[in-house]
Amino acid sequence: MRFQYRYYGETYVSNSAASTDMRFVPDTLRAPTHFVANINKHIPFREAISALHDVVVADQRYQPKDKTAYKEWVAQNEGMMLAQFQARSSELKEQLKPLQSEMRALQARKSKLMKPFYEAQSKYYNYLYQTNRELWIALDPVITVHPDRVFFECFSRDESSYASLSCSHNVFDHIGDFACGTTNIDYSESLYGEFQKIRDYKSTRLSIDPSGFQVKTADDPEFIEEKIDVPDTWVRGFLQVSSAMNMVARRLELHPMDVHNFCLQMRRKKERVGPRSIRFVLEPGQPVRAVFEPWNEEVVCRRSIYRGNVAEEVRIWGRRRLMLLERLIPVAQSFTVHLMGSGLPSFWIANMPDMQFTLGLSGWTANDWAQAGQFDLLAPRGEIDNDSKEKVFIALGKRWYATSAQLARDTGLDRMMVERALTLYTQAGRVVYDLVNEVYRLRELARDPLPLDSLRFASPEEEEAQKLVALHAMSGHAVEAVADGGIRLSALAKHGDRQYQVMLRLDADERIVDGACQCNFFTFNRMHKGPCAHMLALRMSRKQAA
Amino acid sequence: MKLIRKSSLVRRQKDATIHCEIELCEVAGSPGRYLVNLRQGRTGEEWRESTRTPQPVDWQAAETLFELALIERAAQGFSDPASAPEPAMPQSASPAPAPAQNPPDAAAVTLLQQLQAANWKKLDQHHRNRVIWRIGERRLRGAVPTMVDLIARGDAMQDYCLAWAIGRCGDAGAAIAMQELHARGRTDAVRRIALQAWLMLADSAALQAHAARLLADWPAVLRSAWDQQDEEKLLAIAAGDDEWQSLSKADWLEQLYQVALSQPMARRILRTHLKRMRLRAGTFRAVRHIYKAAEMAGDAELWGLVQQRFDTDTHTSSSQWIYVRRAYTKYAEEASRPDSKVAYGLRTRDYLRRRGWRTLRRLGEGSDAAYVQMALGVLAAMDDSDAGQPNARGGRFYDSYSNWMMFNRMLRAHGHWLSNRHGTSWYQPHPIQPDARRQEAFPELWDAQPQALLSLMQQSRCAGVHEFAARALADNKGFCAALELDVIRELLRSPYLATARFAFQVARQRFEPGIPSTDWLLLLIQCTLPEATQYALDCIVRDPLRYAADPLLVATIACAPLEAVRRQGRLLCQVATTLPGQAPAIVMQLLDWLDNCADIDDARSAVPPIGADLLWLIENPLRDAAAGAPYERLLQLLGHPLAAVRLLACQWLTLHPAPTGMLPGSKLAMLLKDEDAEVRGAAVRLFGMLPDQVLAAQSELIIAFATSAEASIRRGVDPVIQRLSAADAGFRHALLAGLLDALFRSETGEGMHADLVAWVTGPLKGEQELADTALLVRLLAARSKGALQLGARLLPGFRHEQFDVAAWASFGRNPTASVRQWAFDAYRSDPQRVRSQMEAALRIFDSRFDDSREFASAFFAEACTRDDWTPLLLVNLCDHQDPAAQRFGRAMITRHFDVGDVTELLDKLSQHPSANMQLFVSSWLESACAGDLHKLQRMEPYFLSVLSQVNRGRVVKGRVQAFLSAQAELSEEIAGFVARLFARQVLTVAIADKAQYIEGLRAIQQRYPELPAAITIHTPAAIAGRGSKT
Repeated sequence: MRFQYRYYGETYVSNSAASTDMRFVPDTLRAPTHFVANINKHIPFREAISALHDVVVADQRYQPKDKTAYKEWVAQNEGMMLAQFQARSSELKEQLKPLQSEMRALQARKSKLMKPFYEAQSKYYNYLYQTNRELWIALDPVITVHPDRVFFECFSRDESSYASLSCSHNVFDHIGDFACGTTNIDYSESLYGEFQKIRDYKSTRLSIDPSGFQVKTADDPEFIEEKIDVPDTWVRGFLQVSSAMNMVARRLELHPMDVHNFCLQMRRKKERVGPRSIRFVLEPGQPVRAVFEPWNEEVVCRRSIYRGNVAEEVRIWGRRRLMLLERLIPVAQSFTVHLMGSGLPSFWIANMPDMQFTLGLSGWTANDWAQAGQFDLLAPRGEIDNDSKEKVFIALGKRWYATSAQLARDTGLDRMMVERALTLYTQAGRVVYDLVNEVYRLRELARDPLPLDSLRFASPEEEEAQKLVALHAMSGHAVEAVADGGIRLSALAKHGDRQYQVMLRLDADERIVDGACQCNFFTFNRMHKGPCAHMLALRMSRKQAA
Repeated sequence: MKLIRKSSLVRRQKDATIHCEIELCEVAGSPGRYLVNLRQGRTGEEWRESTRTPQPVDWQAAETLFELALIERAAQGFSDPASAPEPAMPQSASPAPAPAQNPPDAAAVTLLQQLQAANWKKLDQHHRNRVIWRIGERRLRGAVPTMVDLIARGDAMQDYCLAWAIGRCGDAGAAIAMQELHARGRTDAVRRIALQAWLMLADSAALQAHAARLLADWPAVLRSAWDQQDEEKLLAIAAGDDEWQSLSKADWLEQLYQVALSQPMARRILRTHLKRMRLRAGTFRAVRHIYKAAEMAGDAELWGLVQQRFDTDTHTSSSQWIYVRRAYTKYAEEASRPDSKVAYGLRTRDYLRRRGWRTLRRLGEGSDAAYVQMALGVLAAMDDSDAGQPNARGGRFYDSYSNWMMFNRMLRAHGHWLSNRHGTSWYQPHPIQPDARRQEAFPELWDAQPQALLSLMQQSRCAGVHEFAARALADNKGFCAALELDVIRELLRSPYLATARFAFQVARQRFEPGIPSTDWLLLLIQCTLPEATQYALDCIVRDPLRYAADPLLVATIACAPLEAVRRQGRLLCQVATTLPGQAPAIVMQLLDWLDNCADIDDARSAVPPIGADLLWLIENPLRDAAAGAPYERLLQLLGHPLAAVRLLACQWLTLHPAPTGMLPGSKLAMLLKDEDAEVRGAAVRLFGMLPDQVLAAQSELIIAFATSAEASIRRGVDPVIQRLSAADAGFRHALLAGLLDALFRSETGEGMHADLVAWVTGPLKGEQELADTALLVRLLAARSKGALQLGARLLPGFRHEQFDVAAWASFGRNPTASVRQWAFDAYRSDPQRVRSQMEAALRIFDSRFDDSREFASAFFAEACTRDDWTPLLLVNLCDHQDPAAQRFGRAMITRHFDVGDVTELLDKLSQHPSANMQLFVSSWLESACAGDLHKLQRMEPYFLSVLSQVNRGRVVKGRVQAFLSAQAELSEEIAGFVARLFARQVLTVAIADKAQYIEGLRAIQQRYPELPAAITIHTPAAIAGRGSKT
């Protein structure tokens, strides 16, 4: 998917001994949005925006070790090593010895001579690397200005973490003229360094600069055009996580030190085998307990009493992403956690005075087929006609933010209908649900509407699976535990006039590790192209059947 | 029941005759269903009836059963009496037409005798078929009537052979018989070959009508393309997939061949398609049929083309088993299916290659002149682009043509070549040596047709064929001596060395021992043969004056494609200029050549180097004559299709004395927009020759040229800039503005900024604007590399004091090393001024370059004293991103600050997020805030962030914990503050920390019992040990 921006100049932060001036450059192709004010809660703001930055550049996917240098070395020395190995006769070895010592001396001399060159070379590459660091960022963060709040949103490079920093206007002094709306900002790696210089004895000015909108000539050299190709999976991940926000959730209040303890668990130990989840044990009226697998170490959150009505267990994966919250522990007053369910996104809200930092985590860190089948997050939840949809959107546009009850009053529609419409807009990236204030907010993620139809499913198999689930085509479910902690699911899939026996094996982390099916897709591709529609449907329908 | 076909067979025994009738009938009332019945018995006795079809079957099965029955009976000794009785007639008929052709040789007579009834009876079916086939091979027309009578008297193969032979004999009288056989033939193969025979015998009107009939049945797409004579489209259709219901691609190709007999366009399409098409299942059947038809008709061109494809295209499969239709099947079984998925396997290919050579060999052995014709077809189809690579394996040495069976069979039969058993690859057991002897098969046949060899030399695209033809023709002295001059000229120009060398030898014989005339010399110069060219050059060196007198020769040498020859041309030109009136004539010849040079081969790459040499000639020896060249002709050349010629014309015009003003504006404008950058550059130079007053008004255009992305254009405008800027201050001003503007933008072409900088620091260096400090600051702060470069070049012209300290610092961060060096010098030159503006000066630390930071650390450590450092400055330095700058800042604090005034400093430093700074601050806690609740409260964020570090900062944590515990001892208020902190942190699961907090809280609670309790202390229950006595 291609995103196009046009910035007037570059975002910069100027720092002097007495002041910091952050001038964000908005995308001039979008509706004018600007905001200028001084910040009065310096340190929390600094920590929060730094955490936001950590999310922007976060990439916790598995990075294979780069062995090219070693392989080069082996290729160079293989001959000699082989010769040594084969030089059985002592005579040859004797001959080899002086030659080798001579060669060693020569190599030592060579490396001494070449050392400055190599140093300069690596320095140069380092320079190039630092200069082009902007390439690291997948998509520039989005800033939204609303009558009551300003919020920054971003999504990580590894397509798994969403973050939003929402600041009430109380965080700002001397608020000037502002225009509500959403815009992308030019963002660069060097900004992080400048954020670190925010202090409470320096006046700190945040401006989303309006000047670009007044420039009329299109060929002004100050304009910087950017065209960014963003993978569809990235956009899909963003929408999935943000559309999970208005799902029904279990809500926990955690003390900052609880999060500290979670991070401590992960800092101290490195898991080598799965399951790699946190199992939340929730019992009404009891402290929340978090069990860290595979060690089964329990962290009891003594000051966090669960207020829900039902005792249950929720498992979440990708827990190392919680370390993104580390910087917020000292400044946060408390953390609010929204758990949507096992394997579903979870949201961690750090409450700071007049500021909230929301970290949304997708079900798993890696966005590959082992976790496939999250598409139901983008499924429409109920029918609604276009007319009412439009009406709701216009009503929201007038207020910028509103609860569904308010919108129901404004439009005269049923509240359920309003909720459905808002869900659809959330899935399309045009509206965002504010977990903290429990209102819907207008926020157009992209300048042009996102093609939701093509984004909803990652593959035709997912689409097929969704149909199968809707038709209740799976029957005869059976679950059996496997010795390694995983489970083996099987069922009978009815597809058209054929029936297939489907089997799926999930590991202890509930990732698909293997499967078998009698369908053509599986016969042709095995698991090389991911699970077939029937396996996905089996996984989806498991809960239904239960 | 309707009788379709019936065979009556007889077997004669000693005293009886046994008859057998086999019949094929259509079942009445159910069309399309057939029966095969047999009846057998002796004469006069009752015959026994039987059937091969218990149930009616379809046509194909019935036909097969019928044939099987025939074969079975033939095996039992039955034969068709009808085929034998009448061969008495040919006895008289056969000798009659024979004399009309060649006198029948002994072999032909023997063959015809075999047809006689008495002999014929004695032959079995196989030999009968062979006799007929061989009659066809030798085209014995006299046998046609007998052969017509034999139709349908033997097995299907006999009919096939008859049709083949009758078609080849070319007796139009048999056309109707063939038409009949086509309609009634027993098998597809017979019907097909009968049609072919008919087509060979039919007259052109009948062929036209046949073609029209076929065309009418074609699908609409084909018909419309045909009607529009759209060869490209038809070829595209031929190359596409099988897409019509009514007509398969293979059938269409076969029909195309039939149409091609009367329509030249169809033949062109077929020829092109046969060259390109893939030999694959589906259409290969058509290729086979066309190949056989061409062989039968003696169509050397198509036959040779397909035959050569068998030699060059590898087979599809070589295995006996093949995986198709989800099972392993025998290749042969699959190949025999009508919808076969395989074709052109190894065996097919080998067979077809052998068959091709057999055809030729039999012609050659019969000393038939058609051998040469058919061989020409194959040889003409050979192309070096299909040839292999020479190689050597296992002591066998192969060359490019080693795998072409026909090539080796025909052209290397008598050389030192060995071959594998199948004759498909040919080698020598030692490195291949050139062999001057003639090696071809049937050399006498070739000698009889020297014209064929000549045509090969004129047309072939294969070096091996040229070698053969040149060698063979060289022996034919009489023919060589009679060759026409034009032919020799053509052969001399041949790109194939063997042919060119042959022509060179023939040519030398014409004029030696004398000196070649200029005509001959011209030819030799234009030849591709190095020795011929060298020979010509030697002749010139021997007598340059004689040859310089011919302007055409001089011009040709000057424009020769070889560089060595052109070098000779320079010499000759210089000699020619000494002759009166010679130089202008040469110039005219050159102009003529330039007019026509677009027609030479590969002109686009060949002409540019020639153009460069011509430029040298017109600038040096021919300068005067070139200046006198007709202006109109040069203007004409400006519109030449070749860029190199346009370029030369532009350059020529700059030499011309005629004022540039004469140049039409439209021409100049066209040249300035030329597609070739060099031409545009030359055009700009032409433009630059306009009078100064005209140019001065065009300053915008000049700036546009100067900032062009093309190096050639910038080179072209350089003289104008040099000239005008020396004279015109207004122009200088405008130009400078334009160049600076371009410098601030990014470079559009390589080297552009360097050129601009050269102009600004060259002809424009005296301009007032360049001395402006603001401009310099802008240049050095710019992102564009050109601006930075110019700034660096201009900077040494300024004095340090012209800039403020902030500018010095920014220069110290510049990516150009010399600029940074200048800044360092500035700092050193006036430390006093630096110290007065420390904040600005310290920004040099922001540099990304090590040398600046090293310089800054050394300079500030040395030049500044305690008085220069304010807490604000130091904090700012400590806040720096660069860890080295931070370290320097901390070092300055430790060096210059005593216990007294650190409170404010630490208050600020404590907000620093880095762990290093937290540690640094922790060591100053005592002096900064001990005992003062207010100060402690202000440090609360610091304490929190230190204590909340996850599994990190053990030292600083320990320090803070100890410090806070100690502070709690001091007063109740402080203890309350510390208790609040500890109560928050005590939740940790880190045991060491937790113990510290509990201990701290317990101590506070003990000391200040009136404070609200943060913890409840339970006395642990004493549990009696198992071994204790109490």
